[in-house]
Amino acid sequence: MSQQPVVIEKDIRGQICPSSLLLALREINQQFDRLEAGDLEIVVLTDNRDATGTIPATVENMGLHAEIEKIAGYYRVVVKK
Amino acid sequence: MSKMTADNDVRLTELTAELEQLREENTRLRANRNEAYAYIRTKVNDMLSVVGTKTLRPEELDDQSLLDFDPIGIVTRTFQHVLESHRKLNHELSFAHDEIQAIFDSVGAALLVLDPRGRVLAYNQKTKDLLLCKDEDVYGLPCHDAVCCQEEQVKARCTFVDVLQHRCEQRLQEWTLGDRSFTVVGRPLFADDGEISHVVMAYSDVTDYKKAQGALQKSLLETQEANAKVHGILRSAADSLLVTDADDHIVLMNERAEQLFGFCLSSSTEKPSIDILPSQLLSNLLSGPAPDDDEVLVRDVALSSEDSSERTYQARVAVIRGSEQDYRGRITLLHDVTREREVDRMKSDFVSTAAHELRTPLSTILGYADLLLTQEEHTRENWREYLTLIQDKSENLAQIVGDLLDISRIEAGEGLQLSYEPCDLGKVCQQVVAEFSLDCTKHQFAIEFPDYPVLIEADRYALVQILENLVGNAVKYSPSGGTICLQAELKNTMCHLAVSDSGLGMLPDQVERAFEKFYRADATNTAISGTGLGLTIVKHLVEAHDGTVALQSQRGHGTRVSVHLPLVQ
Repeated sequence: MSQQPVVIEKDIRGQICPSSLLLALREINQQFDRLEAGDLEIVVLTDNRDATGTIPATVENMGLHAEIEKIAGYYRVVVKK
Repeated sequence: MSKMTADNDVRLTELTAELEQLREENTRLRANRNEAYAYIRTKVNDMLSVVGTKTLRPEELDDQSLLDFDPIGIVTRTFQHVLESHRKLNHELSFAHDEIQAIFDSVGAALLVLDPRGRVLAYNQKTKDLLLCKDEDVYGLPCHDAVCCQEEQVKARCTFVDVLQHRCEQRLQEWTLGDRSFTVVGRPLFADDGEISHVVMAYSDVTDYKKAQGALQKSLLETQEANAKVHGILRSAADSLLVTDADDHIVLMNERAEQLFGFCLSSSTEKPSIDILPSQLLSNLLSGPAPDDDEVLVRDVALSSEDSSERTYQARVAVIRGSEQDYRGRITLLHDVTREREVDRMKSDFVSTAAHELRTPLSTILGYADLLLTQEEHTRENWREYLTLIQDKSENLAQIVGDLLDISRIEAGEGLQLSYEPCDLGKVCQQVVAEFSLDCTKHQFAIEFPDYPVLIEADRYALVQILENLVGNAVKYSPSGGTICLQAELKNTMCHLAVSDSGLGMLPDQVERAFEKFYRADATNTAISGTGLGLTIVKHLVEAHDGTVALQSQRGHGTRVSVHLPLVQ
């Protein structure tokens, strides 16, 4: 039975682009091995709409996957294998 | 003092120069740092533009934070991951490409990849073997030059053109090239702009399949014909045929069997069990121990026919085995042997009757002969009486033997040796009646004939034989005092002779069978002599004279036999 991945939440609300992207990428780079192994998921909370386009596009190029969920007033971007 | 002042001035000048130098140095360093920050921002923005994001503005991240945050490091690290991901992806793509290439080369169909102008982009070995007209590479050539180079193919429908027109998969069920047949499937591949970028053509060689299909159709036709023949044989078979499977269910019946058993197998939704059969004996035969392979079980079975009369059938049961000698069921033929069994019974009765008929006069002959031999003193009257009896009984024996020889000749198809001459039927009747009158004094005889000669073309001996049989039967089956009447009527060219009595008479089914060989209306009554051949011989003799004979009778009211013979013209 596979274990549920650990979830790290990164709240970068208030940041604009491209800081939002850079902050998210910094976190993703730091945890990349665990993300790629499927042991970890990073949830980025952002209120910057541009980031919902740039974060998924970049992580897809890195071989990862991103899901976006719109919450009231901000977005929840889940980055995982 | 002045020296001291001069030294201070020098020192001041030096310090001023040094200060100026430091100021210049500071200005230069400040300029370098701003250039470095600008450089960092430029590079970061260059890299960020790759991922399509906005530029990094100073108010978003000031110069001091820029160094601490290290955006170049972040983006560089990110690009490392992107490159690594792409390297893996390339590896997988390369592997997938190799896989597709292997499939492309080893697939059973000939594959041809064309551009929208019909030029060959790729093809597999199968295409080379089956389709291409040229030995050299055909990359870049129009497909009709590479493949459809044979004249007749130019006129054929082009699947590639169909794909371009309809923008979807197209199929051509039969396409021939030389002596080979193909099914063709063309499928478009679309570019991002929605235009057709490639067309993949797949040619499946169905030559062998077509040949096999032809052979199969021929076999199917032959099988259908054979099946129709078998079905026709089964339908036309005079015997009832029944096939049961290993589970004792009826799987096949011909029409005769369906009529006999009163149900239709073809209209039955499921295979009926043999318990449905109306004969327990037959059911037991079909469910009991199976006969050996070379053995046929033969039993007589009584079954009710369509008219509810009971008939006897000979059941012949054989085993059906599969190709591996496994038990598959039984095939049963039911042959109606009612007539044969009746003939057997009649023959048996005849033997008994004939023995009785022969023994009675023989006993008399032997008894009187013995009397004449053992006792010496006899009067002349005794001698005459005994010898007359011996002669009468011998004539009886001769009559019986004569009948047997006649029926034997008739049976053998040899016919009767007849000698025709004009005969006066009235005189022959009188002669026969006179002879019977001597022995049958208790019967009355009446002859009603026209007062002129009734001439017929006949064999005199055969005519006497006919009349003796008819009058003899009338005497045998009439009570004492009964009247036997012989009447003749002439109608056109025919003489209608009737011999009637007022005796026992017969039942309708006895009348129906009266002319059958060996048939006796009451075989159990040995008091009335006879072999059961008389009327059979009469019928043959009358028909030999181009005449007919008929019998009417009613139980308790007597019998009338009518003989119609042609008159002499």
